[in-house]
Amino acid sequence: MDITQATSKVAKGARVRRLVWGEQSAFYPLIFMVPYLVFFVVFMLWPIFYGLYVSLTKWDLLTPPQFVGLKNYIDVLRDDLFWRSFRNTVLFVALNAPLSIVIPLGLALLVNGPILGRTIFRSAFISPIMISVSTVGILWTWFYNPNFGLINYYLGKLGLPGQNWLSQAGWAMVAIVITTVWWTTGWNLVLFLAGLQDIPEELYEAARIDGAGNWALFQYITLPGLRPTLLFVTVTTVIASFRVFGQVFVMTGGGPFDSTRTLVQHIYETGFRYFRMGEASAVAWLLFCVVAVFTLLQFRVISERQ
Amino acid sequence: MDDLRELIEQLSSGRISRREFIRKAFMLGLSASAIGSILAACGGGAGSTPTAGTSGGAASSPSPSPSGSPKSSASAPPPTPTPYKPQSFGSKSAKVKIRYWTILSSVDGIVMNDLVRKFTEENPDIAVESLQGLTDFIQKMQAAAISGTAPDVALVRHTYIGPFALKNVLSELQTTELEEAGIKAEDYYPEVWKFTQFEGKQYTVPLDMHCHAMLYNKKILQDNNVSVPTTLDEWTAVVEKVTKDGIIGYQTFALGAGAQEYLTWYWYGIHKQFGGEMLSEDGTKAAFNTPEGIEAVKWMKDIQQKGNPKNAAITDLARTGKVATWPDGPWISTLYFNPEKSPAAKDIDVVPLPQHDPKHKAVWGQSHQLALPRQQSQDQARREASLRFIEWITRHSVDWAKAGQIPAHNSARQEALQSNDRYLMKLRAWAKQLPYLKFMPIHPAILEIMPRIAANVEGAILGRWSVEQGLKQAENEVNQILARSGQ
Repeated sequence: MDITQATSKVAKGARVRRLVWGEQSAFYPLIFMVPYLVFFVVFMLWPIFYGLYVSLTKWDLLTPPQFVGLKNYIDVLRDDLFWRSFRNTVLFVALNAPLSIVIPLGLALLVNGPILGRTIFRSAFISPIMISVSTVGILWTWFYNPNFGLINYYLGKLGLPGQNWLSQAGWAMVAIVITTVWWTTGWNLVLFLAGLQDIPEELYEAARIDGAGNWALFQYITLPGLRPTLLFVTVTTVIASFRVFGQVFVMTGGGPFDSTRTLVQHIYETGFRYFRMGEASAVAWLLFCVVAVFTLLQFRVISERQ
Repeated sequence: MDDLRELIEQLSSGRISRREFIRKAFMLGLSASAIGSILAACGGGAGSTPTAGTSGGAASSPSPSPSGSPKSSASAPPPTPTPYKPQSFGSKSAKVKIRYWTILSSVDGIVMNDLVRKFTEENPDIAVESLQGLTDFIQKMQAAAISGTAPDVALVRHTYIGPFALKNVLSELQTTELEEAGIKAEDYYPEVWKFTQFEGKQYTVPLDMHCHAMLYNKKILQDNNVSVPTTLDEWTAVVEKVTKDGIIGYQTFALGAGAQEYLTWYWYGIHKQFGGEMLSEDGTKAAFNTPEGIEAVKWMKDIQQKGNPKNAAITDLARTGKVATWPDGPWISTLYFNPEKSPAAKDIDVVPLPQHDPKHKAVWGQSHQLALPRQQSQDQARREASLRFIEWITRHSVDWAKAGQIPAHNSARQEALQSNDRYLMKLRAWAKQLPYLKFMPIHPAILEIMPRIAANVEGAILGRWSVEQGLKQAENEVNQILARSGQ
């Protein structure tokens, strides 16, 4: 081997070594990601596709699955109870998502400024998210109790009539939305606070010098500046609203009169109470499609003028 | 911890109100969520004050089995603790240990555990780990069958047999092993022995039967100068007359429990009185949306609106003598007939349920059956022990009758119905209806069908939708379920 061949061999070796061990190599990041990737693939990716397979079968966990093609999807779309669950879930999203975005945004604007007790207020608004879903359900079941509950008690003091919050078909959904907003405000509040702090202070100063009022500041500086945060918050809030289950199940069990029965509850009962796994998977995939459509729409609308 | 235990006992026996419980529990240092979960778990008598609600309160669980505490007499051994955790009976050195699961909660579970303890005392070579009042029983049984952790003996309602057998949750009982254990068909009430057979195989041994009867407050009826009703029309008339001045005339069984099986039980009996059927002969279609079916639910709605227009929960009101009539099962005996638990006990009595047509009597009936769930690896010794256990329990079910169940075992039933025990004498009213008990069919999808009927009938009774619409919805949903399960 002559000197040029030898050098190029050494150089190639060095290149390979740089590729693998060097600073720009993908090796180290990959190594650190592997533990997470294992969990991700095993517990999230594979079940998703396995679920798609199951949705094409009839399976009750005890006997081997039988392939039935799209029959489950057809049965589901013909099921009155599925449509009722779907309508209830959409209603919940329509009520919960806007409130869960607007209220944390408002609160974030309030506690962002240098007000007195800012930290206390922030902690107070954020802390409910640390309570587990069942606890929230039980707690608020007691708040809503028509006889001993705090809510009717204070309503009475204000001279307003107490309601049968959880046992009246109309109020039950409202009550659940209130509970959910109270519980999850903290998430979006934190995100909005972070987003607000990313907006350069100079923009506000400049606008104020130009004579912009508070509303104009909000419209022309805050909102555009928050666009990425808003997109993220909206998408995740809508997705989470579609997946509502825990607190509803604990508080009303889907009642009264199936008026608060949600899609995930339908999946749970179909799969784990009546052991129709194929059908439950089909409902889950239908839910996924619905959520995917909404998410794409939101990306389209919100990040349009990026 | 002991203070808390005692507090819970007092709450579930109704000796203290929920408000008192909350107050004392706070003083003991419990957090609000802990108190909330205890109250939800106890499910004790729906509310201690009348709830002026449009449905019977957001009942987290109905009280078909009442939340009573053990009745302790001076000479009896200390009462078995309120069942919810597994209890072990028998000596540690016993050769065989079997596991036993039931759906029974509160009083039922306590009496059952007493029986289990007696069994282990008389059969020292067998130890039993008993889990009473298992929540989510249906799911847990199926999950246990899948994972191979099923108990050796399980107590099921007869309606569970079809679904469980089809899913291979139960193991078949061979004639030879039944003979060896001394379990014979002729020892049991034939109506419920029928349920032990499914698709030509035997899966269970009957333990008991129960049904509805009408409880009533003698004093209220006397004060209003009305006699005890024997027909549905008389019942409505009585209720109309007595419902005033804070007295509730009537309360539908399990109203407010929502989409569960309990209201369907009561509905089934009344529906049968009007001559209706639940499912078609071949079990593929709903058959209850008929003119008779509509009439039946209309009667249920009418008497509910006349007797309890505000749909207040009645457990505490009945105990204190404020409810005139109501249908219930015999499991409430130790609650309503016990002066220690019910101040109005001496006024409360029971008669067979009024009938729509005395020539075509009907009343809802159900049977508890003992089964051997399928095991992953069959242990012969445990299986024999389990069958001995079943045979012993059914033979001694006269003690089980004290929890308010009619024994299926013939000699135990005769003994129970001839006894002079205070509660067993009341049981006779329920037992009088044995000749015309109507049991729900053993259909593979029955467990899914019952909650749908309950949800829609409840909506009709509470005025959420009309009777016709409610039955139509129920029929659609049931037909969809049947169409899906029929492959």
